[in-house]
Amino acid sequence: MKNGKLIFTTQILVSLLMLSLFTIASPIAQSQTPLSKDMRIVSAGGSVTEILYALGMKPQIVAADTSSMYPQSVSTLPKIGYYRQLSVEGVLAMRPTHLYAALGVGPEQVLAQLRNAGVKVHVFEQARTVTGLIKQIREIGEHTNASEEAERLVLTVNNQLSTIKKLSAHHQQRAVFLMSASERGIMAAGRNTVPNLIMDIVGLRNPYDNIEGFKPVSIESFLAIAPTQVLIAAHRTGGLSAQEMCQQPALAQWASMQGCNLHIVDALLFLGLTPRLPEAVAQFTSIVEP
Amino acid sequence: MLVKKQIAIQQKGYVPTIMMLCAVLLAVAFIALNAGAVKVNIWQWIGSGSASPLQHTILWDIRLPRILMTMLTGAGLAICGAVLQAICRNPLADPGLIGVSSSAALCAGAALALLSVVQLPPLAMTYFVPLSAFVGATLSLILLLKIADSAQGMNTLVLILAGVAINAGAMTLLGLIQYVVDDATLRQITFWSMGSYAGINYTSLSITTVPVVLGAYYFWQIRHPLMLMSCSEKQAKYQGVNTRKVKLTSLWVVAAIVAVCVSFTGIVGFVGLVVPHICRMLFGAHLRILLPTSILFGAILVALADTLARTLIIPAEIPIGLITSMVGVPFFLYLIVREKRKFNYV
Amino acid sequence: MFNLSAVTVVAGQKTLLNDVSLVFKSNSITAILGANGAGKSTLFKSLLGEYPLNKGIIKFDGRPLDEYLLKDLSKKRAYIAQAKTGFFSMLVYEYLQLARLQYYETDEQSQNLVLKFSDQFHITHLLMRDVTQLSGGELQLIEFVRAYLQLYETSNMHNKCLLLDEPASALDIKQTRLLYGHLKTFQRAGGCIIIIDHDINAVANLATNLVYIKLGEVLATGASSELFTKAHIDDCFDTSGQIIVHKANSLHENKMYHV
Repeated sequence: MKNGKLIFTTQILVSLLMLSLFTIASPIAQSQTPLSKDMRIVSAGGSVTEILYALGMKPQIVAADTSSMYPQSVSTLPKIGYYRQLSVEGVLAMRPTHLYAALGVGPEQVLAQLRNAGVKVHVFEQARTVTGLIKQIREIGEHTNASEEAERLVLTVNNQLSTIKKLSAHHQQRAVFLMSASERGIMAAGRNTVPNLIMDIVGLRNPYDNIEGFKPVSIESFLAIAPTQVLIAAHRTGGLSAQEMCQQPALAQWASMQGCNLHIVDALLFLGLTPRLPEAVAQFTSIVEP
Repeated sequence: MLVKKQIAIQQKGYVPTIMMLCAVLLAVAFIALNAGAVKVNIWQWIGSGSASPLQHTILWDIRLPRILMTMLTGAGLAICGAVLQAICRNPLADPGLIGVSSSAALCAGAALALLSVVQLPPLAMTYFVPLSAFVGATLSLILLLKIADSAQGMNTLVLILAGVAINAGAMTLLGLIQYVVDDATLRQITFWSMGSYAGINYTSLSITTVPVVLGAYYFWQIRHPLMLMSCSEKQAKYQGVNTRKVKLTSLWVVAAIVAVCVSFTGIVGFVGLVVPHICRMLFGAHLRILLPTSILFGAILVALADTLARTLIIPAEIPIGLITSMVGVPFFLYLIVREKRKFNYV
Repeated sequence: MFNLSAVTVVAGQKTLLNDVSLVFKSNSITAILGANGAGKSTLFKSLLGEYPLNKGIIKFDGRPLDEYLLKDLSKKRAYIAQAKTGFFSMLVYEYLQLARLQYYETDEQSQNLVLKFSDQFHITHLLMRDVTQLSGGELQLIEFVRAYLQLYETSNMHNKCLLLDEPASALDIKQTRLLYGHLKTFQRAGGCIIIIDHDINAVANLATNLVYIKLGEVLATGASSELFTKAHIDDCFDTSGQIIVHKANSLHENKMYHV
């Protein structure tokens, strides 16, 4: 047993030695702030990418993640994987100076490794409110030295929102946003989601605002709510048309009672916190009160 | 005497085998260092001594600790599997059997869920999840021993059954957590469970070295009692082995190794089950040869699997648990069929 | 070697052994005879320390059995079970070498002992075979050599005890003869052997002493030449039979009990 203790102690000391050696030897991040045009930006998160494009940062963006789908030209960029599970070498291969990401980017250790390698990493908060969107636009503008463009974008967004027709006071509409509807059941949008925000702006109460985020809900509750309009994200319909979706067991009963008022909408538009929020709101309004 | 010569020849075969495996391990390390999304020419780097800061960072800070970690955990999980198979006298035992890895996953999931609603200071953030996983693993072993151990001894069947129960319980609770959390955290938990060596640094590497190296040393010291116990526990006792003490200590060591590995990398499946069997078939079943070959082969396998994981779909990474399982599942089925056939003759 | 005084073992409602007092000496082969359920397995297992005693004490080589450390005990007392299954694969010589676990010696020394006794007990041809591929009979013979190696310190086996449970059950006639020869060798070196076997005829001619157990109590104990009688066996097994005496030659005489 004496031998065992000796070996144990030696091992601890060696580990500590290794630890200290490598901590000292790791490179120190650069502290210079590069000029805007020298930036090489990797963007992770559809909404962040969209805002960067809207601020005119397209020439600086060298790669984006797979959830970045708007505008069209993003598809020509090299992809670095999904923003929740980035690969450190995949990002470093792009030799970026900056990584701009939406909240939820990960894993944590990869971000740490990127910082250690000299990449400036910034994660943007995305509170699901109009103020949150404005803040995000302004923050991104600040980081990319594009504050002027950011203010212009903010102005545009605010103007667009104010010109949207409000719903008439005595509407009888109840709208529900579904993430998915299949033989496994239905998943609805609750509080703290962009669909909820859209309903808020329009003045409609989300019947599912008692649940947090996106959750599976019972068909019974769905029928009890008896929404007049149902919106569903396009990427979860498997290419089916609205009519075909209404024949699914999950929606069939509702469709027979309320009619097949199912609207398939663009996922990024309705789920991401993007500058196209007014567009989403307008689309929503026209669905509810055509 | 003829037999004496035969024995000598047979035993001489051990050293070349070990050397051969070490050579393969070094070759794999070399291949792994060279592979990745960023182009690095290791010959140039060694030869001219010059490399861009990026290449230097990639090799030293990102690839080297990661590759060393894959080898360390591969070795650790493999030797745990070999030892558990001997103790449980069951060739289908693996480190997951005792419920430690699923409890670690449960607590990691709980930690991730907590982190989604509570903000912690940055230093705590990095180590909160691995630490929770480790605590979970330790608690689960304590529970297991409470159920299976007693002053009269530790019944192996009860041990296995208790492990099954803990596994089931942990998975259920984790399922509950997965139901309650939001989408983002759900993805995080899923990815964590599937295993990944992304983000390994020298800190996690050095911490993992301790239980793996000490554990391997301990198991080597008790290889002979383990061999006796793998034949018959009663007989091992009559031949002087303190079976309860061996089981108790071995379980703690296995739990320490598995807990630390799982805390940093998530669950890497099938290594503990598959590698000892391959080594048994290729190199021999006596622990004198099985322990060292399992260590080396486990290291080789996981290093290779991780290299595949991060190069097959550049720039994304396949979770390593999927690759080891992809290899493991067909082999597992083959094992079951083979065992079944053996039992048919009884 | 073994000294039992007033040993009583109770399990649940049943009294398995009742006030058993016995002595097993060195330089003897003792066979424990009794009907099924009479308590011979319980007695045997008590010698192995498997049962907590409700009453009485078992002494081994002068000391109470439960005071021994496992590893010290293993050098004096070896147990050979009925034909075993379920080995993990290993070579016979490796398995035999494991028997020397508790002895401080070099690898070469233990190997030499393995070779020496494999030669003495005629199993050299099995040394390079895999244990999982041996027949039941071959396994038993290996087990004897293993037990011998486990106990061997000098050629004097005076303080060593061998316990065998149905040793000949898996053996053919030739193998049985071989094994019994080995047992006699062990006994003549001073060892103490205790056997349970259902074949009372085979074992009685081997044994120097007999113990009859009935309903958890000792019916009789003593030299086999005196105790292997119709009266004793009839009483022990509740049967009615007769003793037939075979005279192989003027020196050698075999007794057999027939129902």
